[in-house]
Amino acid sequence: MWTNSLTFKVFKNTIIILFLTFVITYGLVYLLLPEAYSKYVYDMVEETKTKLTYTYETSLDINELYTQITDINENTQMDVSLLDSDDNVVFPQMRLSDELLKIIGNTKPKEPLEAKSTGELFYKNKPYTLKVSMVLSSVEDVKASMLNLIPLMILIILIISVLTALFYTNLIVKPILLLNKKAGKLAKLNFDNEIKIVTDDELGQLSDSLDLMSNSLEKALTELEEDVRNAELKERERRNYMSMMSHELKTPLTIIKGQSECMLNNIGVYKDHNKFLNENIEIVSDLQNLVDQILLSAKLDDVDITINKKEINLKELILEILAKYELLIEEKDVKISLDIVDTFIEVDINLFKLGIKNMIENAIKYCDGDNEVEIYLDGKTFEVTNQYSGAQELNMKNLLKPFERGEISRNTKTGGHGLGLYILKRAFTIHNLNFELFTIDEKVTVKLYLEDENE
Amino acid sequence: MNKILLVEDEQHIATLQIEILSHAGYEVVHKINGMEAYVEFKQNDFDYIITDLMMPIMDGKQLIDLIRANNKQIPIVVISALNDNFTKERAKELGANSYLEKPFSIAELVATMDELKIESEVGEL
Repeated sequence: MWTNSLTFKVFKNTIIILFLTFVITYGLVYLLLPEAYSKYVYDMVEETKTKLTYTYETSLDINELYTQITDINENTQMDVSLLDSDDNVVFPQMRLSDELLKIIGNTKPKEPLEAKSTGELFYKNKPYTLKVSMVLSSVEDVKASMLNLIPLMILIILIISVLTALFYTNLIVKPILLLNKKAGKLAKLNFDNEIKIVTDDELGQLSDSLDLMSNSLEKALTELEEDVRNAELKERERRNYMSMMSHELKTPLTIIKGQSECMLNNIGVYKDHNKFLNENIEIVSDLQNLVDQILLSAKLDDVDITINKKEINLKELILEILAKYELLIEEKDVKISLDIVDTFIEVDINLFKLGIKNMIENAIKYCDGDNEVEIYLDGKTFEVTNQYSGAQELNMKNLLKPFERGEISRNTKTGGHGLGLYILKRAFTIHNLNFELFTIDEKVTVKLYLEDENE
Repeated sequence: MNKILLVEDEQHIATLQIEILSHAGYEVVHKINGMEAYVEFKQNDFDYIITDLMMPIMDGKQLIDLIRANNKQIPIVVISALNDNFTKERAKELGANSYLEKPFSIAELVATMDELKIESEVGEL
């Protein structure tokens, strides 16, 4: 509503202040003026009488007294006359007021509209009365004229109020309105800072503070949104992880439970108890391995994990791991192509070994075609490459997520639960080591950079 | 009224279901993902569909979507390791008639199918 606007409020308050000032001042003048004026006149009349009497008594010069009386009568509003003992005017003899009195009769002003003072003096041993008076009727005229001026004064107050309102609107209210608009934009989280108030007073400083607050809020909000996005992403990843883990754990449990029940009820192929009991034992072993891997990945996900670095020779570690997979290499007839040199690196041996072992194990397990695994170490990088016929269909980004498997069938017979590459990623990330997973034609390569990215 | 299209990517579990359901008098055709199952469904007549949710190439949700776009009647049973209410509700919203959680027992699987069979027969009458 416009009545709530600052411009209207400035106008309203100005008019109230001016009107009150006018009423108080005008009222005081109206009420006190007659008394003050009367006192002034009485004092002046008394003073004139005293002065004239004193002047005559000290000089005893009647002509000098006449001169002074004439001077006062001509130059002031006072009426001075000298009367004899019969109250006849001795001087001045031809006064206009006396002539008028003769014409209009006895219309002398009555008390208290006349200030009057008399004093006695002697001339040639005869007593005379010196009369000094002044008409007070002009006070009533002033009061009447003051009342007549009231409409004009109200008009002047209105004009001054409008001008004041316009002046303050431009000087103070306009910047405040802009500040209000600016704050309104801020409230709606609009941080464009398009409204500028260029003054060096407090309003300008307030505008600068609002700009500062806007920038800080924008920054904080952006960070908050980023945090929320990250939190949502983490929550989605956690839910996905739980779903995948549930699936991976329940699948072998379903098989064990189902096969055991079928054996008990001698249903179909499950009449061969020996075969399926052995299969159940294998599945339980696999389940045990899965639980170990889940616990290990949970440990690697711990943000407070501590690592104890020691210098090792990576070449020796590679040879040690290869020795452990000798049987599988022979079984699959895998050809290992080794090109490695002594490379010393400071790592947490237990964690780092998990990553290196998974690199080599994955290559041996999943290699097909010519069954060749190339292992290369030059002191700065370590690469393991294997042939894999489905290489072009692999989603490299997804492969690093927990429980993601490269093979389309997701068959448990081929082993693996999709945690190997995730554990590898965590083991290297904890050491601040970069690595790449890529395919060229039908070959899959994992390349590890051995320099700590933070050093 | 006894022909089932079974969609399950895990061979051990598929074999289990085939043996149990065959023993209970059902004829079972097995496919390992949604894509193969949908092709089979388009080519042959089935009385029921049992499907896993998490499968490669085409998962169970996509398969149900496709089937329900053409056939609102055929009873569909979802068997999954996911036991959260969201997944169960989502499966029912998609058009599944029943949800069986892994690991299931022989009795649970057979009872689920028999229940659907009775409902279908009553519905036909």
